[in-house]
Amino acid sequence: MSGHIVVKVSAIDTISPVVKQFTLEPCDRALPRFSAGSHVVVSMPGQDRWYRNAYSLLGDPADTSCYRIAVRRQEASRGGSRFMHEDVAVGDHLSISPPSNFFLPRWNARHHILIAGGIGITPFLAYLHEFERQGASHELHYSFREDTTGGFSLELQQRLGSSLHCYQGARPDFHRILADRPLGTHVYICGPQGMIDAVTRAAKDMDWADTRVHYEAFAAPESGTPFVARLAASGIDVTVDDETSLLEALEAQGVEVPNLCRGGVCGQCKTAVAEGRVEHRDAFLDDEERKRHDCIMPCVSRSLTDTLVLDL
Amino acid sequence: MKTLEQPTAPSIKSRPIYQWPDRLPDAGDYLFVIEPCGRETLSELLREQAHERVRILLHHEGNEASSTGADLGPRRTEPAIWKRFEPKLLETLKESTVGCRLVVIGSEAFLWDVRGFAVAHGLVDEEILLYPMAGQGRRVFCAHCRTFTEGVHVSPVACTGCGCYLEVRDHFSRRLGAYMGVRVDAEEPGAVPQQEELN
Ligand code: FES
Repeated sequence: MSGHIVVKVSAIDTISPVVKQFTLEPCDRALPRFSAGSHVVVSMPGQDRWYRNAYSLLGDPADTSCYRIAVRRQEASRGGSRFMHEDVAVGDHLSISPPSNFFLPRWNARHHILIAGGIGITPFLAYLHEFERQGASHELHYSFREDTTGGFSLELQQRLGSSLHCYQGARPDFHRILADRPLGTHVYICGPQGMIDAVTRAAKDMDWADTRVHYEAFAAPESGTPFVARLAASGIDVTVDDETSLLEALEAQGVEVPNLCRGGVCGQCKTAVAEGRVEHRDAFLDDEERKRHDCIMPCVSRSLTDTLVLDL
Repeated sequence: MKTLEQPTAPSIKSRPIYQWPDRLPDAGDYLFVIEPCGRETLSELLREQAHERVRILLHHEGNEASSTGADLGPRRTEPAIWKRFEPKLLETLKESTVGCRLVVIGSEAFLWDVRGFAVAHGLVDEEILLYPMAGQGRRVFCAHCRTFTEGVHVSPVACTGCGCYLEVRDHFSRRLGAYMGVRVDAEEPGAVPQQEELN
């Protein structure tokens, strides 16, 4: 794919039993600058196919001598995170996309409330560098399961002091977190969908305007029922197995679909559907569009019918 | 409600379109900021509404009765009538918390003054409702001497700053809360067309 950057893995740190941090250094050209909240897509050669996963850059945006990402080993791994954990060694080369960002801090906010679940802490690690530099008022609520994804909490304790609130194995009371906030407060959530839903619900209950609530579902494509994608123009059938996303299956066939986030938020991969019913898993389409079943975000969404005819 | 007439299809895009519900959306905390001309609308809205917390801030020194704003004197880029009111509004916003809905009722210029101030102090547009009252005239900004003329009902109008006759354009600056006024007799000094009533 064009625009890809080759990087060298210069360090691998174990953050917790399930989280590893990778430091990536430039090889042939300098790394582009990035903004807090950015991610890169890492292409990983598997045994019989390529994996492409998006990871937030967690380092200081002012430092472009290297990129840092953290990878949580997913139990039901589709391969990507297992590859990163088991097959990548210091000195290896990886191919990554240039950074893109769908999760920017709102710089006009007067106070930033960050709510992270597990590995969802990563974009906020980059945020914190910027907030500290700019003297922006902020606080972090970090919820994680014991011994699994709380690996950054020690570092955070030192950086944040009393504005860090950790919740080990317990769900924070989001209504309490959002109560009595001065005007100009914005809230950001990065974590599992259940957490995003709970915070947005609490915000609604308390009359928060939608524009104050920002979230990133870091959900990697999840497995599902296999189906066949038929390309209307050529009549070619592409089999999508349970572990592969539609986007990946198309790419494996040499069908290029524009994409950026590979996580159902950017809208770049939107593809027209001629026949079949879509199992929507993205965060991009609105309810009306979903009901029509005439388009799909192939990076995360799948088919409810055995065959899905795509206008490709 | 004696609000401005809602333009069905705005001919000039930069004239704001207002969406004022007859009944306020449900929220736990309302802050009303009004000019005297908005009192009736305020009481109508309050009648329609079950409310937990309501605060009302009345801006007295408005320009309700002025025709061309001559008695207000000229002023440059900063609304003078606003001066004494600003600290009060600031204090009120400071003790407000997220979830509060701001409802502004008054002349169009006043709405945008308050809206600009509120946004600068942390409110977002979704939390602000603007109720423009009819018959309050327009605020006109002189493109030449940068003076505001308040409560303008006709065009062309004599600028309170430089005295030039200004054609009142439909171009509205949300930042200034004003319509643009451009010299009408620039080409042929003294050739001032008949005044027309503005809507
Ligand atoms: S690539 Fe962003 S929504 Fe699919």
